[in-house]
Amino acid sequence: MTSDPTLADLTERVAARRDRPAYGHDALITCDRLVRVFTADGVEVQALQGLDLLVREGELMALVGASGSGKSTLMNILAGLDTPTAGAARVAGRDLLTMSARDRLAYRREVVGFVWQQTSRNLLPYLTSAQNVALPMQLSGRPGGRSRSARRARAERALELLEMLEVADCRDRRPDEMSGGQQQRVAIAVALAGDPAVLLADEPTGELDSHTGEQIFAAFRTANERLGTTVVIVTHDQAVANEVSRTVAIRDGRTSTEVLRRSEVDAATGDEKVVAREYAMLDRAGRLQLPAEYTTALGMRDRVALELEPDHIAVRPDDSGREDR
Amino acid sequence: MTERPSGRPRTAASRVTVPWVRTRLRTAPGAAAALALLVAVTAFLAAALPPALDRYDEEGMRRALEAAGPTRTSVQIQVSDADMYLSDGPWEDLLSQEAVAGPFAKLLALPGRALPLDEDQSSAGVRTTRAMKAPDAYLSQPDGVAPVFHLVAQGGVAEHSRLTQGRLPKAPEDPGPGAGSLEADSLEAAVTTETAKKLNIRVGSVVHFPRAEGDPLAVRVTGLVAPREPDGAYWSALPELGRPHRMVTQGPVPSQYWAGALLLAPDAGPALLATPGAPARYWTLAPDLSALHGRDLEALTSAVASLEGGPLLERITTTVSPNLDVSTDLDDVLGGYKGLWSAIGPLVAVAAFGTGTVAAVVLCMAGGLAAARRRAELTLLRARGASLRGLAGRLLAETVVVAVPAAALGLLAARLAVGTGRPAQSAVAAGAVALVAALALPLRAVAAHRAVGVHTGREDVVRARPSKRRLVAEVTLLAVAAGAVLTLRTRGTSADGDPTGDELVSLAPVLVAVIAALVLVRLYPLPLRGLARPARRMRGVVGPLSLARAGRAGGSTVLPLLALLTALTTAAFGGSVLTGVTDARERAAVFAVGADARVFDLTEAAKGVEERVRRAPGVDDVTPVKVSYSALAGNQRVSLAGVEPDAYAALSSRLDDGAFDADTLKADGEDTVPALGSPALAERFGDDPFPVILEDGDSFTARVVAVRTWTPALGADDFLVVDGSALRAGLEPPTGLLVIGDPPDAAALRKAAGDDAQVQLRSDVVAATVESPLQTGAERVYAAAVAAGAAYAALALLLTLLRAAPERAALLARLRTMGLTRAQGRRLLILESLPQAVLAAVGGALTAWAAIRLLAPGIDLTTVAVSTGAPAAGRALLRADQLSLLVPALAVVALTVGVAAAQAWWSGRRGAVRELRAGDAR
Ligand SMILES: Nc1ncnc2c1ncn2[C@@H]1O[C@H](COP(=O)(O)OP(=O)(O)O)[C@@H](O)[C@H]1O
Ligand SMILES: [Mg+2]
Repeated sequence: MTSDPTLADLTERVAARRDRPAYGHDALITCDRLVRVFTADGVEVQALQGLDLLVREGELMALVGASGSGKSTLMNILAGLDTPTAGAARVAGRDLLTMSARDRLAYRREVVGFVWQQTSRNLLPYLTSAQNVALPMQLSGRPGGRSRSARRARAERALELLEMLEVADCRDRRPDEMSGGQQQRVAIAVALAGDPAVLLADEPTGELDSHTGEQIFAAFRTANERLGTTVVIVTHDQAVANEVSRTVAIRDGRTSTEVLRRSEVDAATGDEKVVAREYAMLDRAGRLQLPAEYTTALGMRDRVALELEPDHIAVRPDDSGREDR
Repeated sequence: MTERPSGRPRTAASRVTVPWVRTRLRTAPGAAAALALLVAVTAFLAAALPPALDRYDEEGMRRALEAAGPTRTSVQIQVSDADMYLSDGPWEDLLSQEAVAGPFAKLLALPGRALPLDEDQSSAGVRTTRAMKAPDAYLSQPDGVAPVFHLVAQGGVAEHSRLTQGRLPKAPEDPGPGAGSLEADSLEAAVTTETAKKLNIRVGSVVHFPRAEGDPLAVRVTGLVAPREPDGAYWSALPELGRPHRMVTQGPVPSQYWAGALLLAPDAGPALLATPGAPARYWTLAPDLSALHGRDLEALTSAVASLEGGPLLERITTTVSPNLDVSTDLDDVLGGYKGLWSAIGPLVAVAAFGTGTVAAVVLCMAGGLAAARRRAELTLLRARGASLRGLAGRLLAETVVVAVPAAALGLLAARLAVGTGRPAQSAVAAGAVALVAALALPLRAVAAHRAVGVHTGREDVVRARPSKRRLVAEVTLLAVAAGAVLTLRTRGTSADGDPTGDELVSLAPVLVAVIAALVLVRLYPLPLRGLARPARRMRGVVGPLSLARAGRAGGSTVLPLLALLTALTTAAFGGSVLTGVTDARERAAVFAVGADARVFDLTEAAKGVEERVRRAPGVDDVTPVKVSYSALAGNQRVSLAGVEPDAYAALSSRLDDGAFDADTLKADGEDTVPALGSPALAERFGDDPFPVILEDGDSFTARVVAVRTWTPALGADDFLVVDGSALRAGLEPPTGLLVIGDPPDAAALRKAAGDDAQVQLRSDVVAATVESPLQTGAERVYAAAVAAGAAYAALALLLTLLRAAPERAALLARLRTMGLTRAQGRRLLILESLPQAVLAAVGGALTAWAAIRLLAPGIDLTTVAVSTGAPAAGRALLRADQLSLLVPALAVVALTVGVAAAQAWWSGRRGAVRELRAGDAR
């Protein structure tokens, strides 16, 4: 497309690349060409096939995708429960591939909190809500953890969290004495107990009706707004997806498209309205995934024609075959 | 950045902070109680073994010492002649009461704790060392030979007896210095009532002892005393003191005469110088049997050795006199007992190791089961930031709170129920149980949750990947076990080899079971998977499905199989040992008696005895024999039996050693009579004919046609057995009857045989062989170990099935919704569990068989079966007992099938709702 570069051009380009900030330097969560391969019964499954994702600090975002697209795999990796096969993943400055067991433990204690879909599996059945919330603090065994004052501090924090999530009245109830929504809100409190930088939730509303789902989502928003915690939610729930400013879709183990929502004030009417705009992801190799609806609508297959214009790139169906005919 | 809402009421911090152990115990009281029960029972068994062994040990040793009697167990110290000859002072002083009592007190204190002495039964005094003839005609003289007496001035007669007649003797008046007690020609003595009765002595009788010069010494009997404890060491350490003995003269015509003792006053020692009996001081130290313990055997043995020729002897000589003899048979008695103990010890150890292993496996499995059941919870804890150490610590706290008190309880119960011997060993055993029980769960959890798991239901698939580390561990264990077994095999079968290898021997069944378990677990899915393919073409669902499931379950763990195999091996081994012991006893009894009963010493006059014996109840058959104990073969004295060949051959075949073909023995009127001979005779005469002369003058020529080491009529001496028809008088009248019966009635037999003949029953001999409590104790320990092992194995089986129970229940429920009938469900579960059960059963039987084959040459049951002193019937070897192999194995299959059926029934009743609940990731 371009003419052959001169040597001077190349050295200049190399220097420019070196000085450029690293990929995702300003993000809290950075996934760079993340690959996870499962081997079960001798069969390899590529759950993640070079996934790229950046999440900034303080963001509240949603991950969507078909079942089996690799969402849970990604969440488990980010939670420090699973290790990627290849690629790079950093959360709050920690490299998830090279962490030692001890680092991993500290990471789980200090950096992430998570909530799973199955309400019953987020909480220990034989502990009350308050105890469930206090447990991660107890487990992390900070210095002076056994002293009276530390205990009081833990109890206070547990109650604060429960109150913030509006389940303070459940503090002495065990999970089987609470509704699913209450359980899930307590689970969020548990996840927040260690004061994590990131809160991960894998389909937290999956077992709940839509109304309760909304309440849960509100709880996440509260956590995000009041504690400043970065929140990543995997969801099937379109309503939830519509609530957040950024929704990333995963397809076949790769991020495919992204929807950003901005509220804009209409210049003419003065009304505030939410504008959603869909973007395709451009990876660092320059690859682009086109939404399936788009390609089928135009009958694009195998090859497309590209044209560089001053302010955009035009993608057209491959017309070379038609000319031949 | 954290915003803290405030203004809420304060709650007690304690309600929020989790009191882990208390919460867990309150949450799962059932599991805690089950663990406590398991630990308590196991600790009880473990803690009961040492005191039980100690008790048998102690009783066994006491019985051995009692059986040996004070004559052998007491320590005799006696000064020799040189003592007097080398002394400067007057001899009277050397025999005075002070010269006896002074050293006595010191001697009693000498051995100290190493050899506790019974002061009351120990004795000291002066006695004649040579027995003296008393030719008085009024004394009892059975064969016309005059009785002999010892004169004994032993201290304490008055305290150890009751005066029944007359008065106690007094020492002769001291004739004053220079007068010389040699001049004394009359002494006073007492005799025991028994001596008086047997020898015809009365109060006032005078016993005369001729002296080389001068008048005979006259000893006047002033009183009769009855010993308070005639069998105690005081009265029986010195033979004849309490009761007279019948002696037999040497020479061509043996005749009987009495030997007794005359009891002089304790201070009459010097007066004994007037007798020709060479008086000497003596001290008899009687060990305190109640203070002797089997566990002190080593110390005791060395103390006795030291007494007989070590530091203690030296101290005795310095205390008493350089010229003295110390003698005792205590060391022999202890040695014999030690031999018995070391023969029985390894057998008991086999049982203990086997059952211990099974118990340990069960404890580990219980921990594993708990870890599996709490997998989700532990994964969550780990994910929420529990460190590995924190997790292990919490679980340890949970188990310790339960296991330690339970073990302590078990220990306490064991000490209360069984005894108080060997407290340290008991405590260690119970402690080990508590340790295993407490550590099993935390260690399993640590192993499983080392890597933080993903919280989904999928982990099973991933986990099924065979781990390389496990393979390496298994191969290592396999190599170690195989090496140990090989060592055992090549080390040979030195029956009394170095005792250091005993642990290895005792561990052998466990090692074999380990090998078998490791190999079988890997091998057995292969044929199942092979079968699964053709089975798919079978009609019906249940068959193929269960086969497929059984094959897929191949990843089952080694532990339960190991428990089963070890238990089966131990049980079969124990069963074989017990049968072997019984067989050996029976054999020894047959060896000694020759038949079920034997009537012998029949006199010519006892006509019709045979007929009467035949009619006695319980008698099936009677084989008459004519025995001569002093026949001459060539010029050698042999025992000869005339028999009826057919009947006798049938009788002989009861022991392999005696069996022969009746036809070879039949004398058909030829010149040489065919004879059955002992090996020594066969060697002497070979095939050559030789003359035989009987006591009654009968004579013939015989030739040895068959050699046997043993024959029913004569045992294992030098013997000849010939056809009775070759004897001049035939078998009439027989001198002995060999009786077959089931069993013959002893009283009737004795009555039928008459007064003169003697009757010996095989059952009596069998009963007599069980002599030491150590033997009965070993059998009891073994039986208990086998029972406990079986119970633990059953528990292991149950735990395995329990572990898979939820999964099976879910499967069953799911299949039910697809139309599986209840009967089909039942069949599915049973069929599915069968391959594993059959594997365990077959594997167990094979392992046991292999272990027995491996160990048999090294294990000598003779000592256990037949105590020393009983007639030997050759070495009793261990043989695999089919019943012991098969019964436990079949029990395993039956139990498995029973549990599977029960589960099918149970889950059928409970309904499927629970298992099918959504969100349960199974
Ligand atoms: N532990 C595992 N073992 C084998 N395959 C797995 C495992 N976890 C996920 N997979 C596979 O990876 C792919 C992505 O799974 P997942 O991340 O759970 O998808 P999602 O959560 O988006 O539905 C699926 O094809 C799944 O079968
Ligand atoms: Mg998922």
